[in-house]
Amino acid sequence: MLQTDTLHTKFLELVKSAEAQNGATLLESRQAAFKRFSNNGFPTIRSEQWKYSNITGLLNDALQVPVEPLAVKETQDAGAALLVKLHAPAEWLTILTINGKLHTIQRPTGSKEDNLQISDVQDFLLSTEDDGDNDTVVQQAINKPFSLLNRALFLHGLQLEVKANSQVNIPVHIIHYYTGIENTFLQTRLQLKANKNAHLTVVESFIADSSCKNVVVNHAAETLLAAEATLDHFLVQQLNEQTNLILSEVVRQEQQSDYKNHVISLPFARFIRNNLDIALKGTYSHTDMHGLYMVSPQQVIDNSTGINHLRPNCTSNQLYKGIVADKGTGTFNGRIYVHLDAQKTNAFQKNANLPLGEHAVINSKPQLEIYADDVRCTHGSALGQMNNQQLFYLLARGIKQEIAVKLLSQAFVNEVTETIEQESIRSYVADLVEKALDQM
Amino acid sequence: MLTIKNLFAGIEDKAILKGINLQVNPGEIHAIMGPNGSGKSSLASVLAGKEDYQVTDGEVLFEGKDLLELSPDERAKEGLFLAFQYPVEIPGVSNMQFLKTAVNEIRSYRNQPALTAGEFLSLIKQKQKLVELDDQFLRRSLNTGFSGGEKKKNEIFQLAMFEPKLSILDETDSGLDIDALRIIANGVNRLKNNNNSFVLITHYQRLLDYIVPDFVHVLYDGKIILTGTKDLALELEEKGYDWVKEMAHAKEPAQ
Repeated sequence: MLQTDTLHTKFLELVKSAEAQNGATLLESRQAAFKRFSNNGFPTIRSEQWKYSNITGLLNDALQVPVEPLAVKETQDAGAALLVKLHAPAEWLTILTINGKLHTIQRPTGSKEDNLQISDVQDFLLSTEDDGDNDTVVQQAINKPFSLLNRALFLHGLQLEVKANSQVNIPVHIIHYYTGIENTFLQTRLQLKANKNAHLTVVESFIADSSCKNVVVNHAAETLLAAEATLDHFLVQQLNEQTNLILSEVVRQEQQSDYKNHVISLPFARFIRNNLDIALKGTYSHTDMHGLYMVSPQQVIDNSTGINHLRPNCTSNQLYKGIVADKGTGTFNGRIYVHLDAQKTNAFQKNANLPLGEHAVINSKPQLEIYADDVRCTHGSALGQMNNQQLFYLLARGIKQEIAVKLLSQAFVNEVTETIEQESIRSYVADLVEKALDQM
Repeated sequence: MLTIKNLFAGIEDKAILKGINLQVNPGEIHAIMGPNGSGKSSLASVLAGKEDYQVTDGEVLFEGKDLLELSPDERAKEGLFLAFQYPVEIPGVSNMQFLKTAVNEIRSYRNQPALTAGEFLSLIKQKQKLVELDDQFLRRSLNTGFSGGEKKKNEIFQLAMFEPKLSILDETDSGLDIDALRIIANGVNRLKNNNNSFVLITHYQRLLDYIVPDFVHVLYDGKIILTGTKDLALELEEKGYDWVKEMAHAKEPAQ
């Protein structure tokens, strides 16, 4: 397994080369983050948050941490053709990164979107230090091992910011494309900031091609919604067995903001871990978290989510569904935390799983911690089984077993895809999900 | 069309069908009546291939083929149709998607090309008139939130779409009001021809006022104990089943 000492050597190299590029603020933060990371190192299965996923094999010795930008063989002219190949919807604003590095920005003809600023990361949106606002929840999330490691070691970072009182009218599609890299532990970062009463829709596609070998992407995202802002956020993970992902997303919401998140994990990566931490910091805010994880044989998909109700009158709604093939492992570890001050909270959580074989492993751990006394919270977990009566009904109509199973699996996942309001995004996601079901 | 010879079947250790014999020829309508628990619905389930049932003896030939050797979907593709007593709700699968899948599966089995979208829609339009089924039902999830009558109409609509050789209607009349019953019976009468056959499983003579059977059988304790014409149904309606049961017991050899 990767050793902290090895990482430290790499860190020192990176600091040397990054010193020239980044400002002093970022450098100090990198150093503080690495120090914190070194205190505890990588998490083990003894940690409550990681008890279902052993990462010792994933973070193997062969992995290298790049300390300077990776060479990209795709020329600037190749961007447009690549976007066609990656099925990027042409009517969206598309930002293509290759192995973390910004490559192409493509706007549909006639669109301006001058209220959206796209830039490199110059500073972190969220602080690891107590900013005097009792922001411990956000700090705890950022101080998790992989977030810290990302802060210390990230090579490429992208920041999107929407001006106050404005709306970006088309979806912004960020394609994180991984190609031609081997034995790489890559740190990439995205920061999203919706200023007061700003409205944005972001679709992130994580796409790996078959030329990658032994790649682990540690992607960290910080998201900030100012008062009355709305953000529709989709994470669509299309990886393969050589390209694995650890994702950490920390979201801070101010009053009357509305954050909707969909995480769609398609099959065939060896390992995917999704950490989502949401802090409802302002009153009358709302969060939706929808997840769909499709786990192929031998694969692990581990979702760890935490939603923190910190202030009164907020609502949250979570629906996570998993289809798990024989010998696959699907995990949902979801915590709703209602803090003392968060009266009139209304929180809903549901997790349902459909095993497709006798040896499918499903871990479901919904948790509710409530410290306020005037709240409404419901949660539930269901380990489904293919309903035999439904199955027989389809068979009795001449539909063969494998197609009937597919129809019922499709019906199971539709509950999640149907929550996508925008037609173009729903069809983008539904097509991918249907193709994946065919292959599972 | 269908030949059942000395059929024994049950669930786990419980014997339910105890030696059924039945011959159904093309163009015939048979009614199977009998008191609760006599095995009527079990017979329908065994014929459709429900895996909860084990056949312990006997044979079933359908168009000369050994029916019991076929999987449930193959039975349907060969032309057997079961209208369910309790049609299952399947949320998330639209009626339209379901029909298209099933129709094209059956066509592919019969070496016919898949229907184009246009052909499929015109087939639907033509058949839905038979049972007065609204367009909106087609877009909704299969049977989900349908009333009892709508579910039964949907079964007959499917029957019309698939054009089976032999249709088994398992208590299709139960829970229907008189208007729905009439619509369903009209649908069946218009679908009936000299080449297809129907087996109606029912508790009540009422259905047989609308769909006139060629034969009426009484099933009791897993066996057909009496066969007659439509007049037998009227007699049962009037006198109940007790006299048939007594007759059955009298036939049994003294222990």
